[in-house]
Amino acid sequence: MLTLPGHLEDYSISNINEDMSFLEMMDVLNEQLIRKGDEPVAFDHDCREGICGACSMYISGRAHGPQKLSTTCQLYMRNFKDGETITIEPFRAAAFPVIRDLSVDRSAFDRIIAAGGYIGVSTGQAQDANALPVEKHLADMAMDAAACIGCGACVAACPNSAAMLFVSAKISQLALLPQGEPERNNRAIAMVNQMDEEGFGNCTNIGACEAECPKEIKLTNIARLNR
Amino acid sequence: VEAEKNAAKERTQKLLNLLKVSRTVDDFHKALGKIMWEYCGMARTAEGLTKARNLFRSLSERILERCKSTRHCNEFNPELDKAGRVADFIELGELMVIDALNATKVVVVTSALSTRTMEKPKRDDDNYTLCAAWEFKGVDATIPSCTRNHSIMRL
Repeated sequence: MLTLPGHLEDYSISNINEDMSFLEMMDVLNEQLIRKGDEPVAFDHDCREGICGACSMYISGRAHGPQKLSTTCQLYMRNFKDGETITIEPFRAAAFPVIRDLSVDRSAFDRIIAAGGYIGVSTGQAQDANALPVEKHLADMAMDAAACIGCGACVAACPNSAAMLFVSAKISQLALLPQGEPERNNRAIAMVNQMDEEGFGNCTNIGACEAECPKEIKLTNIARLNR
Repeated sequence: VEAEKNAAKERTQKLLNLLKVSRTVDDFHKALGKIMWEYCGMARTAEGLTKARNLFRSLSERILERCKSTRHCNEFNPELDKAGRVADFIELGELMVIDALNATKVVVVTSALSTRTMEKPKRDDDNYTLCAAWEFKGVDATIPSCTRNHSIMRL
């Protein structure tokens, strides 16, 4: 396989409708390139409805582009001016090696999740839904943390390439609930160790992660993790 | 295992070799969608379905022959990935058409134009319920050799 050093390439695209999503624009670009006999641009995508966390572009200096609270797939071309030059880069972090073009390997996140292990539950018949009371505000916070789709925008936005927002959300979604309480401390330590091993940077409370997160994951999760 | 590996390799190579010039994988995907929409939608006729079947035949031959990709099979190649999937969709679409052909008299109330009347949808409970099982007999043999094996089930 031929490996070339990374570089920026200029493409001009016409026939872009303002109602197209950013990824549809990329499809149009690739169709044009293939028809011309050029290499299509590799990029990550899957559900295209903002829930899977697969799309990962750094668009004109912002993770997932200029629109707040949206993934790249939910970004539409009406957010750009006609004739505008858009710079697209992969999510860049030492722990996210580039596979090709805009496609990066984020399996470090999977390994962090795997390091979290399991929660102990009794087998047999499922217990009554109300047997374990959970306070409403705690349940809400756990749900908010669980909204993290693991896209990696927090890492891409962070000048330290820290994965603290992701890891803290994944830890918080369980730590706030009674299920998994016995494994709580070990889980947090194992996940943080794995995070360090993967080569993510340290948190210096800059907050770019929260600002760019498409799912509104809050910095308070990081505070909870540190406790 | 070795035989399966070789078969997979051959299929990948087939897709790759033949992935040359003029039409992209997306063109085939769109053509497939159009055939399904036109001939295997809510309203279907035996003529339309037969036509669709013939269209599929040429489409699946052409995706293997004409699809275009510039990369090789031993590296990250999203276009090849897509070509494999669309080839599968075409196969599935063809099966749906054949299944619908078999079920012309028994498809859901609104669908078979031959039994539609201006009044209330005409019920045909004797032929209404159909349970069909299709056997996969290899890529090339799939559609022609699929044998219909169904029995009418009364609810």
